[in-house]
Amino acid sequence: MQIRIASILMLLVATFALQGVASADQYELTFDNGSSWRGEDGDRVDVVFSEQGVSQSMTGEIMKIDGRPGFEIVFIRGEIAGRVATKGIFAPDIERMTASGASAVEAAPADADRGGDRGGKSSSGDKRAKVASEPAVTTVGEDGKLESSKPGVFFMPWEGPVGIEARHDEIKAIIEEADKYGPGQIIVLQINSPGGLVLEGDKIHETLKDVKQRHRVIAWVKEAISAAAFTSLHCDEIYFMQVGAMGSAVMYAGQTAISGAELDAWLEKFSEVAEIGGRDPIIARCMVTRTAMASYDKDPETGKVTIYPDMRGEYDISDDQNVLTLNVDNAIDCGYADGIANTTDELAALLDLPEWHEVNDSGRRIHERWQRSVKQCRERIPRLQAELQRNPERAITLLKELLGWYNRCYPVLVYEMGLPPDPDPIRRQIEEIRRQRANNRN
Amino acid sequence: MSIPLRFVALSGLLAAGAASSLAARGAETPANDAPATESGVPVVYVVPMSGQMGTDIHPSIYDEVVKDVMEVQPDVIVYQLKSADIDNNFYLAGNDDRREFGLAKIGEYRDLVRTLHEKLDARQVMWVEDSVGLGSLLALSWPEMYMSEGARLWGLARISAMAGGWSDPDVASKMLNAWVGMGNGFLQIGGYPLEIGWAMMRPEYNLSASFKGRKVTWTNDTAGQWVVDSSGDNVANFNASLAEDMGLSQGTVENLDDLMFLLGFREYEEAESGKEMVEKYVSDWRRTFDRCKTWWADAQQKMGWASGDDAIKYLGSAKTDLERILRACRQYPAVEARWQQDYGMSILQLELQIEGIKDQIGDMRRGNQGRGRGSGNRGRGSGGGGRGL
Repeated sequence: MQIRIASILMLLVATFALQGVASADQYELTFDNGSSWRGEDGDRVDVVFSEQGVSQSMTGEIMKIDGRPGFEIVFIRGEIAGRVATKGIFAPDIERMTASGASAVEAAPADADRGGDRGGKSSSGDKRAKVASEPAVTTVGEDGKLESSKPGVFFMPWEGPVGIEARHDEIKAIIEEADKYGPGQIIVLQINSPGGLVLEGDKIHETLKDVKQRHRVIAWVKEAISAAAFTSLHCDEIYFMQVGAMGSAVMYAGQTAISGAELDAWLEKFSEVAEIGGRDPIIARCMVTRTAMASYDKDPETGKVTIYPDMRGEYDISDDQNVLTLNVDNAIDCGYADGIANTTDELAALLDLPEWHEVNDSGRRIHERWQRSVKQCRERIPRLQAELQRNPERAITLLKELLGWYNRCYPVLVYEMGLPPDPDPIRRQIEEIRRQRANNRN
Repeated sequence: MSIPLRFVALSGLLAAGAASSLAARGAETPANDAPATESGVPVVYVVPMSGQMGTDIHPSIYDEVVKDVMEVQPDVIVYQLKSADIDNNFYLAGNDDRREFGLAKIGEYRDLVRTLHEKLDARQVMWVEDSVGLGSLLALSWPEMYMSEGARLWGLARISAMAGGWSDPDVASKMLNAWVGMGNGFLQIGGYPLEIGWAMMRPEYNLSASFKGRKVTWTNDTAGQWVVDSSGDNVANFNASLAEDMGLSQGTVENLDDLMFLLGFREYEEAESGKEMVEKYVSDWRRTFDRCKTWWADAQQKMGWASGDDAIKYLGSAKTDLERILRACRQYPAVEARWQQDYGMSILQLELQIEGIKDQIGDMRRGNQGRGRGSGNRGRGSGGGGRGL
């Protein structure tokens, strides 16, 4: 039996080797952005990769490349977090890998080139076309900050369940990108989410409270339900798409809505968030609990809105039977939304920009990178489970891959697929299998 | 894509007949400000939206239609909606088959509506031949709506039904108002007031209208001049004549000639390429889905026969059948959606089943027939837990 497993393993290794190399000892990897790298063990490389949706980089020596096509693991030995270690990086997470020193430092203007008017869609290779269509240039200012020659926005779609697809990490990443350009940037979050995890909301709360001190943050709402409404309300301005909906932020556990002191605290926090965004908390509270009420009067001449925590106003917002979800008409009329924009051009006009211009495509890339990881995780984990059952002799390799996915896509594994939050039992299982196999050999 | 055009002249008796029938229904006099094309005759592009929401009416085909419309550059685009979850539809084959009810893919429909609104800049008109269920969201997504004689604008109770199953009143209200809010997004892009949406989606809401000149004010009570819905148990529904009386529908028409006449065009050319594309798509995916059903039955039978000397042969053949289904699901999102709904299997689960059979065949070839058998179905229900992982 051992001989058979060994021969299968050899066959597998040989198969991987054949698939992964361009020649006998040379590898070739193609990355999602279309770039590629060719080299061999021992080559020194600069690699930029994404981990948990956050971009990181390291320089080191290729130790080996393992795994099947599309899911190779690149083992690099180099300095990471201040110490020398060997790191295995999933090839799909690699954004760029070049021979060390060979890639010129990617200067700011190159990033600006990539930005384009619809940054995410332009090809980084088609430089001539970009120069013709996009005159914006990014330079480094005296203070070391980047400067774009054209006013624009940092745009990021924020979509899917909060805490799984729409996360705090991506919001933080786009803020960090905006920070490179100094204070006063415009960050646009295009929100399309049915809500999600409370824990994520807490993290978002702290980050958005902080970023509003230095940047202008915009929510562009297609669907902002529950935790996504909570996120939107933090923003300096809220614009609705005509189809937009925002609200229904009842917090619940299992089948039951929170109550008592917990509800009071949530109401308090929601009110605070509305006020941070410059909005009346009375309406916000109607999104949190069914029994809160709101109505308003509107001065026909000045348009000034007076909001009441009951139904005495001329216009109803929410009675004591319903949790509030706002649509365009009532959101605009009561002053909760700042305008309607169905297209980026319409949004640019509302933001007082001469035209829609994305300073660079980092927000789209941040979004796409995480969405890609989520998709790959959803496809891979069920396969991995099936493989574990079919090929118990590969259990150690497969369980190690699963551990890798914990590192790469934790929210999908734990919150969506229901795997245990702590992967320690998996580590113990690996050790147990090793022990059993050692015993069998003896 | 070639652009077949059908020229229609509303002249003589036809025009007179149409005019008289329209006049009888109280229609307004057609306007004479029709735009002219090179031939001097306006071009109308009819986009059928016919059948099951989420399969027959699916964004994948309308992406193609949008490209074609942009090429044709018509003066008017007419969305011809015929999607009813009950009665009178070809795909229901005489009875109300729940499998043919519209799929609850609100986000998908919303994106479809946005795409059509934003990418196409010709005048867009909704013509409701019949709508019961989620199709009514599409009907209400365009401000200029006409209905066929006897057409229904019904069935948005589906929206509130989607929020059912919650016992806690706050959580139930959260779910209900979230869905209704999303549903009302369609009415908002169509320019209809929220009050109509609430009454059409929520049984406990009433609806009445008051008229001041041409202006209609809607309220969710029975205090208006015209009470549309006074029941606390049913949602508001509109048929063609009520919708026209209340100003939701601009007029009641019998056919495209009628509609074009009401739109102010005495003659027009019809670009038929969209119709052909959609009709072909619908017949193609439905034919493919029927084949999938046969392949599935065959595969099951072959797997049952897979024992003894012919085991590998039958398993291989069953695998081929499943691979055909997989290809069909990948080619047509409609097939994928129906396969998921009717057979409870996703593309991933199909793939896992095929991989399981491959393993089984491999084992048999290596003379190890026991291991791996039946593992193909184990991918089902993934997402539940770690199962010792």
